[in-house]
Amino acid sequence: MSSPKSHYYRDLLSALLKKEVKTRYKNSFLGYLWSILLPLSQALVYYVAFKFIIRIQIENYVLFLVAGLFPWQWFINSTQSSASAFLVNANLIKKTIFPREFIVYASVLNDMVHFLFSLPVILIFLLFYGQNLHLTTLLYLPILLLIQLLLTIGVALIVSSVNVFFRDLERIVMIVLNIMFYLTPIVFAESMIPERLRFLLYVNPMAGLVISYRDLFLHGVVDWRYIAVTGLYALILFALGRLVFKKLQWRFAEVL
Amino acid sequence: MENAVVFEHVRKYYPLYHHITGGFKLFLFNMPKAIAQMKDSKYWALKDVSFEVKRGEVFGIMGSNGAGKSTILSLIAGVMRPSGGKIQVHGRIAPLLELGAGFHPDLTGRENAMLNGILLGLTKKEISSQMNNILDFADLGQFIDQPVRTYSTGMLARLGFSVAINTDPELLLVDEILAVGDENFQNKCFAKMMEFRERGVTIVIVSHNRAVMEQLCDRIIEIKDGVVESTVVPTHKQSHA
Repeated sequence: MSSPKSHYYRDLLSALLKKEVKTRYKNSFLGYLWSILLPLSQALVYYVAFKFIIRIQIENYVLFLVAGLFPWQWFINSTQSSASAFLVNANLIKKTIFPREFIVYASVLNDMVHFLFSLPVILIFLLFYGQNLHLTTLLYLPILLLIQLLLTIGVALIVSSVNVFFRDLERIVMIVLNIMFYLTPIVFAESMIPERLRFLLYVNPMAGLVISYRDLFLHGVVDWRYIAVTGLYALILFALGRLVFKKLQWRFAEVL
Repeated sequence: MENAVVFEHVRKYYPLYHHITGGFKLFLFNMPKAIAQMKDSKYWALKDVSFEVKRGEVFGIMGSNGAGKSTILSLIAGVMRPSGGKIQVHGRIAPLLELGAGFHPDLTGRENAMLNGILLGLTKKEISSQMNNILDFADLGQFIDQPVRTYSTGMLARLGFSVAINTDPELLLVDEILAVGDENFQNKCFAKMMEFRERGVTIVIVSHNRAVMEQLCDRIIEIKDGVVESTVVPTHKQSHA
């Protein structure tokens, strides 16, 4: 009882994270493979479709694809699984008063760990295309990770909280994510977007982030304008997510 | 702090959520109507409830289904907020989860015990130091390191009960828990609750089994239509007073 709160929060987060790791994929090694195989198979499909059929003019296209697909995968995994985060823990939420937002934090962190484990795959493609890992990549990577963590937690808190009340939000989220994927320069380069549609890059919170990841992995540089935009989105979404969660959390036990 | 729990003119309504659980789409297309409906359609679960639970008391709440018993427990546990009135609760609460609710089927009994203990507010260290007591009371033998999906309902109840009582509670919330488990286990729970009572732990029990309640409780309130209809002191307790 005498232990400080921060100590308890650390234990709570690590216990929930352990549960995530152990239960999301029942076998941890296969789980690791799954988290890589899905974006890899997508990369293969896009490679065939865009490089061979549409003949897109981008060098080292597979490397280009994975550098955007892996962070995207983290984002959509977290967003999709957050929809049911509170629903599947209904019994706990109705009986105990532990801070519920930690369920979402643990889930997003788990996806981040999977993303970190997928980084060696990006490195393999770098080397395969005869490129080197830039030292600046390692330097700036934590900034991007922090931005994505805040952004994803913000979105996940909104989706998980609102989905307790509107259970079809889940389906709407799927549609929105699908549209967002093609509004984010993942399979194409931002330079290919016609001038009059460029503004879309600043409307989509994920666009600046994916561009930054790719610039960083491929060239070891970042464009601070994109970092600033996506960082601002991250702060706004995180604050909004906390707000929505705090407003709605007292009603969870009533509807669950 | 003589009282463990105080309810002063507590009111609680539930908005009727049916028009929004119909989905986002329905809500959007009928927005003005849905909002208007949300404002008037309330279900008053508790209309005006006042009572005090003294520290160390075994306090019973009775009433038929839908009378508001479980709402009271939820309010004491702090998972909901009242719509009106005042609630004070002192001390660390241990809710008895129904049948190991909150256990994850793929985790072992030991892992679930740890997770559950943390969710009930203990640190890892505090649970580790209690682990032997938890395992002793649950009495699951080698099953403790098997995934709980292989457990019988009785085994789940034993483990859930065991974790809750080993969190060093000052206030125990019991919701119809006596209805589960075999006779042997029920006697064990019964004995444990008596032990808690000796130690001065406050116990709030919700049930509609009058016989059991009169045997256990120092005082019982009956809830009907969201108000306290009567307060009963079981006859065998009266002689002590």
